[in-house]
Amino acid sequence: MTEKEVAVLVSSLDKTYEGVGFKVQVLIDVNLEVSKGEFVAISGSSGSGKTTLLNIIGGIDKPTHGKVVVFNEDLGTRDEDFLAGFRCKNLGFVFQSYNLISTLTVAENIAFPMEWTGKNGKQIAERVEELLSLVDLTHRAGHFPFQLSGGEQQRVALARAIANDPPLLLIDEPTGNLDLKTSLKVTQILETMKNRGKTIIVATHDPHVIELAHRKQILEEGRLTVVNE
Amino acid sequence: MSDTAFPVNDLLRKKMQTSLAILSLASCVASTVFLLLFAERTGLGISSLVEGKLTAGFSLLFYPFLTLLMVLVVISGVVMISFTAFIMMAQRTRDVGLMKAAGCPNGLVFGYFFTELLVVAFVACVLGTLLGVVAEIACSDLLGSFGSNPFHTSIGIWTPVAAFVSFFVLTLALGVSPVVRASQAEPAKALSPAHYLGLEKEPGFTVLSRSSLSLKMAVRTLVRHRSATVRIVFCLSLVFLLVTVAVAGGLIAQDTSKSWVEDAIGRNVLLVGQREMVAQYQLLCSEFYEGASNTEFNYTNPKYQLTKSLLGNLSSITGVAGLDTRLVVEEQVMEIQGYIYGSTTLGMQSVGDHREGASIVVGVDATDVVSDWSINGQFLQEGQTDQAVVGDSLSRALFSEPLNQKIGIHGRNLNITGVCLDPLNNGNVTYVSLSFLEDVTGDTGPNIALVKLDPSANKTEIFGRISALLQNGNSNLQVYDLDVQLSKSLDFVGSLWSPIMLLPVFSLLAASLSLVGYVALSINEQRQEFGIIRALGAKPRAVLKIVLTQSLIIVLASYALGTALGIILTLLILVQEPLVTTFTVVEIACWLLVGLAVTFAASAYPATIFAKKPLLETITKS
Repeated sequence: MTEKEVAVLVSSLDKTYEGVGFKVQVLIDVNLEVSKGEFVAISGSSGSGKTTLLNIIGGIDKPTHGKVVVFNEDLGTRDEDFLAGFRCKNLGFVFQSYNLISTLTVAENIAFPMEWTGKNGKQIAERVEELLSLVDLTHRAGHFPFQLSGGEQQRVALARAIANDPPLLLIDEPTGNLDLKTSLKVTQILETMKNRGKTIIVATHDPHVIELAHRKQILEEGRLTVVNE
Repeated sequence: MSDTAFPVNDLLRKKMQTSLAILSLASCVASTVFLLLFAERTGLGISSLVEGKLTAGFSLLFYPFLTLLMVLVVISGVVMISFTAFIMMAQRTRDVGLMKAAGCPNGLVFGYFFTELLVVAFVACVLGTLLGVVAEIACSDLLGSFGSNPFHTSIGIWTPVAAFVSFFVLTLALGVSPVVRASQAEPAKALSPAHYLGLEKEPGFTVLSRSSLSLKMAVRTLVRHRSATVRIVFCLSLVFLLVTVAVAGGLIAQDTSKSWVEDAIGRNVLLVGQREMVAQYQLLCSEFYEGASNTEFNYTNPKYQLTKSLLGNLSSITGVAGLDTRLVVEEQVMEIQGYIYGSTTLGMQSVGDHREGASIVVGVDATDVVSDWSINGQFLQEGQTDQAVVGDSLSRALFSEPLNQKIGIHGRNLNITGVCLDPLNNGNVTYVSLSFLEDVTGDTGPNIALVKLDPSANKTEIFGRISALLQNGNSNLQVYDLDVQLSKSLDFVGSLWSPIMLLPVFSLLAASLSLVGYVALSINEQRQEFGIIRALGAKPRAVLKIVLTQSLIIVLASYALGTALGIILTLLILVQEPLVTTFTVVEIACWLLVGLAVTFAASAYPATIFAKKPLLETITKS
């Protein structure tokens, strides 16, 4: 049996937020190894540190102690310019609250990350069309985010995350705010991504999403525990 | 929670927003107070400096200019403050919506946020007024120590107090409107950014489809925030208008007034006469920049008369381009009534009175004069002995409609054909034909000769030859370089305009502070979106590009509007018959471009600071 390549390696990770008169230890000695093409679901109660963990893996936040290596890059040692380029090329991020750019249309929101990769207009337009079709929002291409429902915004956010075809997807509560029907639609898209061999780390409580995962881990009071392999 | 505890706690909790609002507002108030005080001190200083000096015609150019600048300073200050107050409270609208959605009654919501506005406005206005006063005192002291500010007038306490009260009331009046609107709106609308920044409808404006998404984002943000955008463009346009009027107007007016002086006195001119007469003529010239001297002098003393042989010798010297012989006397002149057609009475009506006063009367040969005065009307015509041209100060003092009146000299009435701007005797002067004046005074010849030199001639050499000529004949005769008087007069005019040129510098700083405030507030509002863009893989400079594009559009739009209006105002209204040389145009263009660059560079400051912030700090909601 050949050993699988490691996509994400988190070792001895601590994260503490400090302020005047308070100190909160969000993550304590977290260790996580995710292989390429693996789908990992992380669940845990609100405030358990799921979003913080995803932010650190995505290079948005820095660990207090420990190491985060993504595709052989130690993110803790890199500057912001490198991290931006790294995220653009390797990471697709879906935020809990969609976070679409309000001044851009649906199509433009999806096209935006591709602008920084040097693709030409024709390539971008074709890719946008393909992604709109994937998330079933072709008819909404010219609409602005505030004209969309929550489910539609979440699907746009997913399409935007995979626009540059990144090998790693970090997804925070993709179905948290959605009804069952819309959740299922989002779950289908995640399954498509899984079948395309993407490495996926998703923070979720949704049993449908967890069911898709190769592995489920639970984050409780800052500590990560394995549920099943 | 008590009625005051909530607003105070809310302000303390939103440290970033609160400090930004206070700083923006305080900087606007400070810069406006500074400009008001500086303009007041400069205006008072100039007024005291020119008291008893500066001819009426020059004053006519100068005072409307200073008045307009003061008015523009006040208006731009008011607009800057109103803009900041609007933005500050517009950002609170979402909180208003949240409270209403939670069931808080309208009255209470309004009360909470009005208290917040009250606290912010009071703190900012106190801080701004103090900063403005301190900055003005420090700046004037600094300029004084460098010798750049000739004015040492003190300023009263009432200007800062009045400024504080006005700006405080103004901030409340303008800041309260978004709060009232939000407290009366449905909670859903108040909660939506689409409502509080006027985004309900998609604008008809479309960005070119081939534009980059960064540009689209920048332009759409400006168009969607049209309420705030229009305000900042209006605000900056006013500042650029002020800057243009001060810079372009100042330079043009300075050049124009200097050219009037130069044309009236003449360049490359040597003065020849008896030693006392030459000294007296210098004194008459110095009245323009040193004030009235009131010395008794007997101009008609026969010993001052220049002989025909001397005049002939002078004109035969190589390099002498012309000889302007003058008979200068002091006479009692009288206003003679004239008649004009009255548009209301539909008939002829008399104008003027029978005022009289002392004036320097200069007899000249119309064909030989070396001066080229700026004249309203026309100069004396050759061979006409019944004409007179009066100086601007005499015209103002003795005549109502000088061009329709006559002047009485020695019982003879002369038609006034023109009013000239003349520094000689500070404009209290009358030019008549030489033969007429010789006739009425009984004198036999001129007592002063102005020798106009060829521009290519060696002045020092000719000066020496004339000196030698004079010493051979009469040892009491003297030659004097009139360029010395010209230079002193030009320096005086320059010293009046140079402090005014400091106003645009400070106006630009004030505008830059406003723009910094706007950009900071704008970034704060778009903070999370910029964080998302960076999280998606955009480098910090991509965010910088978007913010700078927004700033550039605003600055360029304001610049075009403000400078165009400023130039029209200057050329059409402020400076009649402006002198605009290529050098002036280049100088103005450089100043204005520097202004544009300074304003834009200032707007880049908050964007640069923001781009350096850790990503997590920008992405999280405030």
